[in-house]
Amino acid sequence: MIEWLSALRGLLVDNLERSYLPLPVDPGVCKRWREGLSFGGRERVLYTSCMYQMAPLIHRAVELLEKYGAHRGGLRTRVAALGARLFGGVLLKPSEEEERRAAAILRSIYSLLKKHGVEFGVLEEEPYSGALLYELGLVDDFAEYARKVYMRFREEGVREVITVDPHTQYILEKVYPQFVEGFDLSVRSYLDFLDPSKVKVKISGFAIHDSCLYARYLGRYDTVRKLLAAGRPVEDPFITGRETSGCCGGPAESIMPELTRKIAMDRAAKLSRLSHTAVVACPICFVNLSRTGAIEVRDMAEVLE
Amino acid sequence: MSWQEAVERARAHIVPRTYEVLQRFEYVRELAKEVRKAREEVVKNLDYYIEEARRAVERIGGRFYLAATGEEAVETVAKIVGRGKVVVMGKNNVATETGLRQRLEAAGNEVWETDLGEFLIQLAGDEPSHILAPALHITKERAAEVLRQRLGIAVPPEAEAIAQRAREFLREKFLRADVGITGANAIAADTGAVVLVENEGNIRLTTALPPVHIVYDGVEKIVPKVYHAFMTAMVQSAYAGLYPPTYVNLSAGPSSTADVEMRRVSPAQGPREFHVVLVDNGRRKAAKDPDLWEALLCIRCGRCHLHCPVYLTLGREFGRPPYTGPMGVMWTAVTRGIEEAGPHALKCVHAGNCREVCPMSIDIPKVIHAIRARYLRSR
Repeated sequence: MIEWLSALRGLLVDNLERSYLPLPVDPGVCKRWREGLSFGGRERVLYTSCMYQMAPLIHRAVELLEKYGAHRGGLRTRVAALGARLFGGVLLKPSEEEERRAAAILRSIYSLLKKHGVEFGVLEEEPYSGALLYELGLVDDFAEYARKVYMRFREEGVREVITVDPHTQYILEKVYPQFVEGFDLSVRSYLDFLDPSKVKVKISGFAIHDSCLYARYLGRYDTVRKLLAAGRPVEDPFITGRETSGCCGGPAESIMPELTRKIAMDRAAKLSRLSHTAVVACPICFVNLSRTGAIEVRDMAEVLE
Repeated sequence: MSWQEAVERARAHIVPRTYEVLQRFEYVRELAKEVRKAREEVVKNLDYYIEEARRAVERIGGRFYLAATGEEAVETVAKIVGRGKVVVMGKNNVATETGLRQRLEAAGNEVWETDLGEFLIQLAGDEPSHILAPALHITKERAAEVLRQRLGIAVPPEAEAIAQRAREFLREKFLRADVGITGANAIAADTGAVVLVENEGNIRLTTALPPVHIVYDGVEKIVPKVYHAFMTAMVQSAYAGLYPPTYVNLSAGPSSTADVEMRRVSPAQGPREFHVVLVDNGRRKAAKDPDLWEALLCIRCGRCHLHCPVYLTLGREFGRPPYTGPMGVMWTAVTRGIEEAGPHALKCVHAGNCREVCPMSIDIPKVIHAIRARYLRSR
């Protein structure tokens, strides 16, 4: 596992140094969702960290690495390490459907914010937040990279960041201040700007799959419920409770994909006892639960208007 | 039946019951806060409290030993026990941590685990999968099979029947036992009193019937006052969903009586010897560690296991038995070091449920993340 992690670290750090993205991705993937939309100002920016756009690619990269036996250790791990290096010459691309879906989610977030009178700009080239480095435990690499990202924001004159996913919100709100001296950006989730009385919920009878970070690290368990209340979500204290709800398994994906798959299957099975549709608020949860095939998964931004 | 089916069956029994207990007995949450404060005080001044505990145990006529390592701890007990004895043991994670039973058996002693789960683990030659319910992975069918294969006891695969046959088998061992060895839920530094909470009645017998009682546990079990020890026992049982506990035992020295002229003499009906062997094995170092110190606050309720998606999937492959699950990753680091805990820390998905349900509010994900980071940095 260590050899594989070392290869993964090399891949991430190389790509971040080169493109401010963790995977070899065409930067167009990160910003095509903006086509036809208008943005104003620089002090407050909507910041995607390319999370929704890249989430299906992380899965694809892992699938490819699994073919090399990346999580199994031993000789095959060395082969996997070679496979990881080969990514340097390949640009990963989402499918048309994946790109369309990510764009629809981000455009919905844009519309929801505009409906609430929130004005914001966007960075022409968004740097990735570095969340994956931190989550993997590569804190020294993360600290160095985070300082660069912060400088990018400062150079662009950004004072306030609106995030669209829990991983970026967590890393900027809770972790950057620990590692980046003088970090002074205001960091808010798009959810914080939404007024439950001004949003409509397009579907009903769904189950909520909470993001671990929103529910247990960022205090947004109730925020999510207030916004979705009109859809009369089906709750169960031992499946959707703040303390009891399970993870989608996503954070283990790049280390132990089989573990991730099992956790996701278990989670989807539990949610399916409540409803055939689960509403999520995180691109990683979206990908992991969707691929179980056991439940229909909708992002929160898709069901709010 | 798979591990996941077994653990889900256990969850269905215990998780709702634990919430019901915490709702019905609201004061337990306040007690938990008090216990955290008391334990934090001890962890931050561990050497001082070890000495206080030593003096208190000696004051009440007990013998006190501080073992720096697991090896030293088992050798200390091996000397007290000697050879050819019958030894009964209450469930004791530190005994598993240090290989105590195996060491005593190797010295020619007849050693029996008396907690039903641990008894099944012993018979099966297995390892525990949960800090409180070591045989969580053993189904009733497997338990019946083990009793038949290892002891020739025919028993239907029903929990009640299994418990009854184990009781019949172990009763004779209790009566013949020369030595009883237990752990401790808490050890009061002011009095030297050891508090143990249980439901089976085996600990009560282990502490009272044999002529020698040895308490064998980690130094982090010390609390400042005897009332903290009782509070710890009550909080542990409530957060384990087993409240009120059937028994709470206090042992403070060899048995004694003051019925003749009110002069206290020893022994009386219970043990004539009372030994307290406290094990360091990484704990004192951890108490000074900026990341690991919080792990020492754990009261072993086992609640974090049942809310951890990784443990629910991997079972005892997450951590090193007896220290499995979220608390187990921390405790593997405390007792075996970062190198051994690191690969388990890498499996954590930082779902955060463990911190939410922990009665001591230990920031377990933060500790595990620190183990992970230190492990990777060292490589």
